[in-house]
Amino acid sequence: MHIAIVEDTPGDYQILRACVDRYVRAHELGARVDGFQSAASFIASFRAGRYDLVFLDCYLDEAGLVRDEAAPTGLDIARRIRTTDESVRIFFITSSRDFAVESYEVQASGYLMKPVQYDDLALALDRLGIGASKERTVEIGGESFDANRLRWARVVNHTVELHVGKAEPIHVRATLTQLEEALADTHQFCSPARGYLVNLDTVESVQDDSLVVRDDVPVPISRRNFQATLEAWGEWVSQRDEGEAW
Amino acid sequence: MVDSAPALSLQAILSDPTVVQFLRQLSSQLVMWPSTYLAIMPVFRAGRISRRVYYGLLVASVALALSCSVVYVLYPDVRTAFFIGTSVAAIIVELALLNTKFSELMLLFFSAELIVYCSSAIGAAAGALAGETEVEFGLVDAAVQWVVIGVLMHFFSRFFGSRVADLLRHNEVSGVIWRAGWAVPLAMYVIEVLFSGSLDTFEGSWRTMSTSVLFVVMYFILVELLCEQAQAHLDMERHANEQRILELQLERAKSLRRQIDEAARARHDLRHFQRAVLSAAERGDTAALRSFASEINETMKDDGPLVWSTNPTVDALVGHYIARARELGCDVSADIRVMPETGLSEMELTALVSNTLENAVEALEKAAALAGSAGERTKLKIEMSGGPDAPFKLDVRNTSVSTLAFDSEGGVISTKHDGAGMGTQIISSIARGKGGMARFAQKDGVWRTFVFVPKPLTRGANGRDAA
Repeated sequence: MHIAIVEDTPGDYQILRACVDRYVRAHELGARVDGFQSAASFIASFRAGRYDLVFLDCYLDEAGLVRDEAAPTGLDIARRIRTTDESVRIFFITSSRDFAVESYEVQASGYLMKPVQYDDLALALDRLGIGASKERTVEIGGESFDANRLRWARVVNHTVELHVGKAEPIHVRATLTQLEEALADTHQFCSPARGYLVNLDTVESVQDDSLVVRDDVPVPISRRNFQATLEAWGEWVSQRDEGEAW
Repeated sequence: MVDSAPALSLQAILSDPTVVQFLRQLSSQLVMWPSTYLAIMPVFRAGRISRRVYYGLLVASVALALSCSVVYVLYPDVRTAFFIGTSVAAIIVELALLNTKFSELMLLFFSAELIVYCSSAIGAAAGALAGETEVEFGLVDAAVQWVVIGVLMHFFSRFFGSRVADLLRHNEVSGVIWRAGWAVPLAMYVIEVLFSGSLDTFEGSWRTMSTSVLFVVMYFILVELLCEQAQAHLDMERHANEQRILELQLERAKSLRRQIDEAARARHDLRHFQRAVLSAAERGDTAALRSFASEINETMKDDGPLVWSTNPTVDALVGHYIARARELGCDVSADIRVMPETGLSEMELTALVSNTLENAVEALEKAAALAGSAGERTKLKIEMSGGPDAPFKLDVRNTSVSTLAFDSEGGVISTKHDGAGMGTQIISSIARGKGGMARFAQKDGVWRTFVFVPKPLTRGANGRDAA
């Protein structure tokens, strides 16, 4: 999933960005979020099919207090988007409820009041089913699970214990090698220590000898693999964020 | 009634030549322990190895000394081969475990050997002077040797633990010392071993002792001077960096002052505007209203946010380079989410960000002329994030027209110099030094620099990044 935020006020951008990042993490969407602080930079970057979801500041302009008719507003940008892309979901970020009427013209999915509250954003996106990400089903040892939601796994008593999302761990009769083969992705997953496998997309920080995945769960790193694991994490982030050049 | 076997007395034990030989060998070989201690202690203090590896190697050195003592006494014919084999094995194991380069290990090892050999020479001289029998020679030799070792270790452990450890921590500054410095203690050691004389005679021991003491004093002075020089170099760099940051912050302050002045003027103009608008509205003069609105717009051009980041260093740097990029007519997009505290020092943050953005702006300068003639605009996109509990990430993309080459190690070969690009080298070096990585790529006229530091904290004594 590819999300764009177009907001020229740094404070409002930070608030909205934090809410979006929180939603993406909570729903394990694996989304890439691009931020734009001017209409011009977004327009230069936009092309049909690039984004799944766009947040537009409806009073986006570049002339300060008084509206410059030559400068595009959020609505103008939305109209331009719709000339080539009918499927992208558009949300307006507004200080005034009066703007709601205009938003229907461009089939906007909704609007959010500034300052954006996380609960409002989550409710709006949940209604659209944004939180339900595409599944990547993997079958192993008689069990099936969504590989995108797999956070980490470890070998326990000749079984592999899978930690998928927030659900209870699943135990499957398989080896870690079989799991790696089933995942068929050597860049998103890595083995930080013997008997462990971690989804690098769920890693949030490093603490002492462990990777910390979502919900503050530590996954140990062996001394031998320490540097290589951190490099693998960096390589994955680099690859995940590569996307389009602009 | 059966007679009991006579009790073994200490004198009887010490009269056995094999026992005496073993004890002398043991005393001689156990110097591996202080030698290992002096060699690896700075590595431990510099945070490059864990406590477990550190103590493990010390225990291994004692075990090796014991085994060498046994082998040398029982199998003297294989002494040389065993010595060479164990030395090579020790070097291989230490290179694998100590996270140091070969040149660094050689400097540490021979420095330690120089000091320990001095102790051995002093002990041998004392033994030769005081001992009338072989047993007395051995006892006095061992006693004096270990007393001197104790004194020298106490004195030099502070030196190795602080000075040498500092040089290891800042090896990007003291590189010359590490690349060539190991030849000094090695030369001293070779001269002592090969040319000073045998430790079995008083004259030989005395000559060796004199040479050893002289060499140790010279070596100590030499290293102190080199450390002072390295520290002065570091201080100069730190000072230059602080100056640079202050200049950039002054530049930002002036820019902010200009914007504040513009806002003040606009507020003043607003009063006139208000009177003019009211008057035009009363007359129904919409053309005049539009004219007034346009005039106000001209006085309030928005060139971007007032503040790019709450981190003052990042704010100063980003503001400076974005201004330069815009002067070139470049389209700039920036997403800066860096907290005041990132875990990186100001120097490291400055080096990473300024080198990356300097490279970007230089490339934009070259690209600007070509893009302008083709009716296009160059682009710069900056994404940066970091905080005390989050990795530091810097992702910069810019239009690039240069054809860059990569050397065999993946480093960028500058178009200006024949060697590897210095800016990218510094970026990679700092990122790697903090446990991170840097990647450079060029594709379809876009240059990308990606820097990722997972846990930008100072390495603790346990060898791990610690809070």
